[in-house]
Amino acid sequence: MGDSLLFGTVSVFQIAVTLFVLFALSRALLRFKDRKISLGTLLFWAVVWIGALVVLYIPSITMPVARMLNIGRGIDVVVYLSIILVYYLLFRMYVRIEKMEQNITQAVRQSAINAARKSKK
Amino acid sequence: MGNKVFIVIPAFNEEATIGSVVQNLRKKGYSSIVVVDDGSSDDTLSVAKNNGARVVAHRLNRGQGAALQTGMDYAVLEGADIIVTFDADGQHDPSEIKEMISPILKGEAEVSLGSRFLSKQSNVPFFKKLVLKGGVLFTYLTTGMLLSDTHNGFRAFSRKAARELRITQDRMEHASEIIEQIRIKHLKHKEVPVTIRYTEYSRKKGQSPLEAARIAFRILLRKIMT
Repeated sequence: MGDSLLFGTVSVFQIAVTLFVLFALSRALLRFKDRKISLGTLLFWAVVWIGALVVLYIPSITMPVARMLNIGRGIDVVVYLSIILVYYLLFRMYVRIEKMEQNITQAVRQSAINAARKSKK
Repeated sequence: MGNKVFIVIPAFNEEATIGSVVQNLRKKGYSSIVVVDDGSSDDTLSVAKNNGARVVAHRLNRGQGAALQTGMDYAVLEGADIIVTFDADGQHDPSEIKEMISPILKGEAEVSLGSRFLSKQSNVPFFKKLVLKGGVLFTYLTTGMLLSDTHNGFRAFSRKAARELRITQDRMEHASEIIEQIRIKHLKHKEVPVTIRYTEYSRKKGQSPLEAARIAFRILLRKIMT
């Protein structure tokens, strides 16, 4: 299947993914312009998405990596890496949410205690 | 002795029972009763206040662990020497507070943990017992502390213990966290037999096995993630 996705014949799947990648990249760029993300984060996403495009149009490029890692097919390398990436991002989100929850609790607690102590005096 | 005993009661939508719980504590001579209203949508706050409790009110619901920590912080700031945590649903017996704080007064322990399995009077429903013993086993496996009853809201802390303890698990996971911190912070503890009154009301408010499994999952997730 990978061989049918070479240059010249562009599949609907490739067009759809390309549009999505362009959309995602533009989002990242906009958020960088608004100073919502750092240059490092922008570069990280640029590498991820451009890498995705390269693999999308030249799937055979993953073969050497696959051979090196002793993984049968190039596409499998991509799938494995994606899962690792998604897990990493989930982990970061989990940590961030946890931190946020604790900050909210801290704020709620502080204002509750202050109000209670003030009303008593 | 001039020991200031504070009773801390976390409460979330407990208007039906909180009034009598506070009343019964006052009848036993406790005057520093702190109800932490955890963002209730019912009249818990005013009922507690009208019955003579001090109310510390969370603007948003943050969970029982968070409410307990808030109550302990408040009590410490108000000069408590001993802090007793007590359930809002009328399951606990105010006359047993004496026994709970006695090991702390005698200097035998920094923390007293109420246990319904050390006394014969608590008629623990079979299914409930199964879930609770599951909690005991889970706590043993994750913290290495073997106790007879890990998920009992009836506890007593010395001022020192209350200051050292820091509950970061906002929700029901705090029960295991307290045990874990007792071990990590080397707080001397003692299990004290207490009776739990099972009523139709408290049964409805209790944790279902499904919820218990969810709590266990969240504790493990947190251990993996952080």
